[in-house]
Amino acid sequence: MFTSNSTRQNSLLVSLKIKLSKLLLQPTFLIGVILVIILSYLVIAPIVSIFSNSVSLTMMDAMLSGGKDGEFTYKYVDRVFTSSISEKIFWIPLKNSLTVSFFATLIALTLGLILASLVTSTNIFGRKYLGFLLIIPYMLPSQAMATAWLTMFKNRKISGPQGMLESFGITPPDWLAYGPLPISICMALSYFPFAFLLFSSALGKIDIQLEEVASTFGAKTKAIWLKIILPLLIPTTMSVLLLTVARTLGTFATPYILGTPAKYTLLSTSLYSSVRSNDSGVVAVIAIVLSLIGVMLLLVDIWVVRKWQRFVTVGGKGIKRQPSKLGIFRMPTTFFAWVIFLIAALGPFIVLALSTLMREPGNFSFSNFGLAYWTGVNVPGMDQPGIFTSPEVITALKNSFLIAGSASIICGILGLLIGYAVVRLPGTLISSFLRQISFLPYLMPGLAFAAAYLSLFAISRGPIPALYGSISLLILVMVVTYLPYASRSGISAMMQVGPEPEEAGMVLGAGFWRRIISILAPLQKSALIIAIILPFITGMKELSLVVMLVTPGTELLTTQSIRFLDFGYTQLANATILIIGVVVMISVLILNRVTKTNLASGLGG
Amino acid sequence: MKKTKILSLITSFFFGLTLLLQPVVSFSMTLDELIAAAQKEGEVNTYWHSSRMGKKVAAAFEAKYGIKVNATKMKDSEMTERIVREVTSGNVIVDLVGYDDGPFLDTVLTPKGMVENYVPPYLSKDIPADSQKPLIYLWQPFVIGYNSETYGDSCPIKSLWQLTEKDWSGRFHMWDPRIASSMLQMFSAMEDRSDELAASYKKHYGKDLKVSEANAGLEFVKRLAQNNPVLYNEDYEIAVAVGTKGQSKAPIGIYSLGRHRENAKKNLALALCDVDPFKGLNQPTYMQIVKGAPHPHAARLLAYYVLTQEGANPWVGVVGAYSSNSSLGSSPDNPYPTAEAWKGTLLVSNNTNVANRRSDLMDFWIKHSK
Repeated sequence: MFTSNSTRQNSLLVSLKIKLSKLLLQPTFLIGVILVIILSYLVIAPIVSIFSNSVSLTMMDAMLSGGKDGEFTYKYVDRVFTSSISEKIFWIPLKNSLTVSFFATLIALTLGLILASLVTSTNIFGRKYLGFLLIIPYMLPSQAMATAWLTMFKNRKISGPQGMLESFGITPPDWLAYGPLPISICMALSYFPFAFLLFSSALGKIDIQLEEVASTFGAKTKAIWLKIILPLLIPTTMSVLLLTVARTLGTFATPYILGTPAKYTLLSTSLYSSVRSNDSGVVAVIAIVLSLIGVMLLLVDIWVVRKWQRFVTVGGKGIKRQPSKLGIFRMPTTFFAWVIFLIAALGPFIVLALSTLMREPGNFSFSNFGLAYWTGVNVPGMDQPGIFTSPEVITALKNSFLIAGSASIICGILGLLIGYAVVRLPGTLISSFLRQISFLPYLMPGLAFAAAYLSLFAISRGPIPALYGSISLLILVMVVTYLPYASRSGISAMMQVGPEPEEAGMVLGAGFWRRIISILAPLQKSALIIAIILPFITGMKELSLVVMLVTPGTELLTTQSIRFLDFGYTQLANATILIIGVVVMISVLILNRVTKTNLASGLGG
Repeated sequence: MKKTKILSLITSFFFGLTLLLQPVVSFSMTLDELIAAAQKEGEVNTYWHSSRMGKKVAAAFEAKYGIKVNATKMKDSEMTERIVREVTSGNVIVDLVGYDDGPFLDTVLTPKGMVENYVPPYLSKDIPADSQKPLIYLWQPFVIGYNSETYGDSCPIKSLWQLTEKDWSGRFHMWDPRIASSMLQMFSAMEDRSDELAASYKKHYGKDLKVSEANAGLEFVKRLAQNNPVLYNEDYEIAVAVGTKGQSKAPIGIYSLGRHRENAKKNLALALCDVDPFKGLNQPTYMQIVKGAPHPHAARLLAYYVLTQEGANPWVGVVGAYSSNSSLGSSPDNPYPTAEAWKGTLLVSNNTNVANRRSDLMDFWIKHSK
């Protein structure tokens, strides 16, 4: 304590003074209470509401079939699990979701592990750049890969402009163009960077001495990998496995774009269909199932991590593993790594960009190139202006910045406030409650959370007006969904700042806000910037969370791209996605510049 | 002489009385008064079944009256949700809707007082009585169409039942019935006219239809669902899928006849299928003012406007739509000059029947679709 160096008398006085002023002047407790109230409403109320929605008669059904609005019913539970259509709206989508998740995760895991090993531990060419470049797919919105795939492999089964391959005279078969295969591949390519990051960091943490000992005893590199490194990676592998499965289950864009033409329905798209056909009871039930799967996966992950914790080896700091010489495999492995980069990161960009520049797909003559889709007043073949001349896109662009921007600022500040309250009120109920509750949204897939918000804020309740159709609802749902990341980083940032500087300020007579502004804010500047830019990036590319909540006038870039796809305006959709990609890339670069770290590793969204 | 004076006195008394009774929005305003009141409101918000409200009518209306039209194209399931949410939350944004879901309108929105039926008094004599309650503003044929470049002058199918044959599996393109109520309206109308479907089967295949469902209409819906049709959210995409040139096995689709106007502009080869027993569905679109509309006068003026030649022109000036205002003509490109002239070849659903059957039909469709 600050007082420990003072004389006994002084220390008593000072500590009394501090205690008094803490009670009177320091609003920490007040902040804690306010946060508890706000978060209870924003996090727990939606969850309660979705549970109650799953067993109460909707207003629509009450109107159509008689009965009372809100009365208790098993109707929707029956409809999802046992009715004559349950197979179509739940069981088959569940099976498809699990199938796709399994394969996508398998591919993502394998790619992530191989690439992480190559980049961290071998002399592969360009390993310095690959570490960053291989993370790019993670920064693209998830529909980028899917629309790029569609632009490339689309055949005449569905409407819209010709696919690129088809315009070259090659007709891709349906199984290659739509359905489980492309969905699994696209998801894997979107999510492998996540595995890559986790494996890279795990490989970096393995104590190099273990390997040195083994090689001193004459073990070959192959034996070291098989007997030492890979077994040590088991906990990470489990984490990657579970978290990737959780992510793929909640992904909406990929199955919507690539599954719908083949009527290959996943839980996420089935949920969306139910939203579109106003079946909100069914929406609630499916959303609950999705959340339960999410919770289950996460609990298993926590259990696995805990179980394996005793095997984690700490040490070897500062000593980097010598890159092993690959010998004759150097060229093929390099080739492999760069091909993956090409397919997963550069490829989509090129395909998307090309498609927006060519009037007719596949015609590479010079006259066929132009900016019609970008700046045209009336794009040929569409009743629609180009991207920069279309009021819809301009609105969506503004909305995206406004919504993701304000959500991330609020989220960042809220995260630090939570951190402050949690750290400064240790051992209190408030502290542990805040810690738990701010993590809760992490368990629910975006779609399920959005469904909960839809049901909660559709009508006005008490002093809270009906937010449906307003920008504030979108901001709110983003804030709450990204809160787990922000509060986690807020808590850990606050942990590193002891109470002493503040208490010193207090003794010198600085009020609460003065202390926040002059002491805490400067100390937490970079934490705050990270806590703001990360949600911003995630918010810019967010789709599944907002797709059910947007209304005309509140469309975001991501949802606008889906609208364009619905109309078959593939090129405009692609252009919109490119804009998102570019904005996100710039944000990441700014972030890297500001924090001087490779923040790709912090991209948790 | 005296009598007429008294009569006019009485009339004006009642006229005044109605004015007093309806201080907010008066039905008996003159058109000029309505225009003035509307201009004071300055803008009007619409949810519309067709993008032409936003793309064509809005600009013309603003140019004429100086009133801004905010138009959003929307599928009817979404529109239903919006109207109900807005009215029940008291946060009404929309003023006027162009709405396809007659069954829901007749059984819920109107009885619950969520919408207000407004027939512009200046035009009411030209609108047939059966289109006034609730007000239908437009009839749009949704037709079975084919690709005339691939198949020439005649449609590759003669009977609707051929759509359920293996040859057309995955090659019939239509709206997703989960999203567009028109398809449920069509299914219900097919149930109503089951006999004709059964007769068509016999005529085409020379044998009786084996019906394993409640009626021939349902039997058709089942077989269609099982034959893997391609589903869309937007009819624009259906028309493009069917009409794009250079296809060797072009599909058949159902879409609004109005898409034929885009044949030249979008280089499509859409043509109407002369198919037995129905060529499609005649879809009425209703126009209603939403309860608590923030711009009630502007909404009324716009409702009036789209029933005049100038306001209706984006629809009736081209192929594919007929105004309910019988004094307005229709485009010479239409196969028939009026909606009635199609006679029985277009299905027209009965709102009550659809309302009774829709959730069963929807589940029936989901259950049988692959």
